[in-house]
Amino acid sequence: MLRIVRFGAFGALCLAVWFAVLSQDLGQYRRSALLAPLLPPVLLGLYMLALLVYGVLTFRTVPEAAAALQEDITAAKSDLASRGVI
Amino acid sequence: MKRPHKYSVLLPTYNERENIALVVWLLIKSFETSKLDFEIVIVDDNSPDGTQEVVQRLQQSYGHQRIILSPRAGKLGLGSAYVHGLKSATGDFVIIMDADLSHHPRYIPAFIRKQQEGNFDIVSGTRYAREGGVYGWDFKRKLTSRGANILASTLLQPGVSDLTGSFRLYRKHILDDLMPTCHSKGYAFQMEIMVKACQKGHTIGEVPIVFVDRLYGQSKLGGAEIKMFAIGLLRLLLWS
Repeated sequence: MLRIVRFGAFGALCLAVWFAVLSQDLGQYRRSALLAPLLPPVLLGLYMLALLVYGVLTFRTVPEAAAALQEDITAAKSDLASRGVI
Repeated sequence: MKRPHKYSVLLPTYNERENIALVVWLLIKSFETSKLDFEIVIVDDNSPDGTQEVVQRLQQSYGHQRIILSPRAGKLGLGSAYVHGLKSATGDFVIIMDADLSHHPRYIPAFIRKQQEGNFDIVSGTRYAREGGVYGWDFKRKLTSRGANILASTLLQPGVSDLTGSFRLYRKHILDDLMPTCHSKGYAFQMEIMVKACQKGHTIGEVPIVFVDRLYGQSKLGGAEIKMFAIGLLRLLLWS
């Protein structure tokens, strides 16, 4: 089943539940019920933000790899020259 | 007796005269040290800088069995370059990687070991693991890369940490199946392959790699690239 179909079905279900809840007499909780759908996207956003902060902090810069590559390039050029390739 | 494996490396090239001999040399060194059967398939899009002449000299030196030149008439896109290259590939495993030395062939034995350990269909190189990383990227570039991957990973749940990475090992028949169905452009292309592979139930392992950006952070991240990524992500969200 396509992703969008699943999301759509789930979204429709949530919408139905939400309307059903809103049609009840909620008293002081009406405002909370009205704002409730905002919570999942906000939480998701905060979750992704946390992943991003952690992800960038742990994203290594590795100068040793660049240095090792330079050495490899030197060795390669020398051997390739002796083979007449470059 | 089980037939030994053969590894075909696909290298799409355009104006890689400077790098192609170096990457081929490093590939040969890596495979010969590990005593593995291999071939290198170079798909060149009619480079005006003489890339093909260098490839021909490599063929004279190392043999036409090891180095296969699969030329094309012009720049026809990455996906079709892989499809074209796959036709000439005779291995049972295929490795795709960048030809500009940002992907170091020394990681290939690690990819192969990982594949054998877990009997994986696909092994993907990840820059984000603790032992992985980059060189030559500033904070902004790291932020963009990580941000894009987190966005795509969270929304698509694809089973790998590095969705836009292009250093990967595949079973050949899987790539033969998947490649013609992938039409995204730019970074989204690598994402599409992975998402589709995951959906089909293929097993995916990961190996840490370090990506060395020798273009000093200029590696293709303009507005056009970002737009292609966003469009590709949207397509995958809606239609996969």
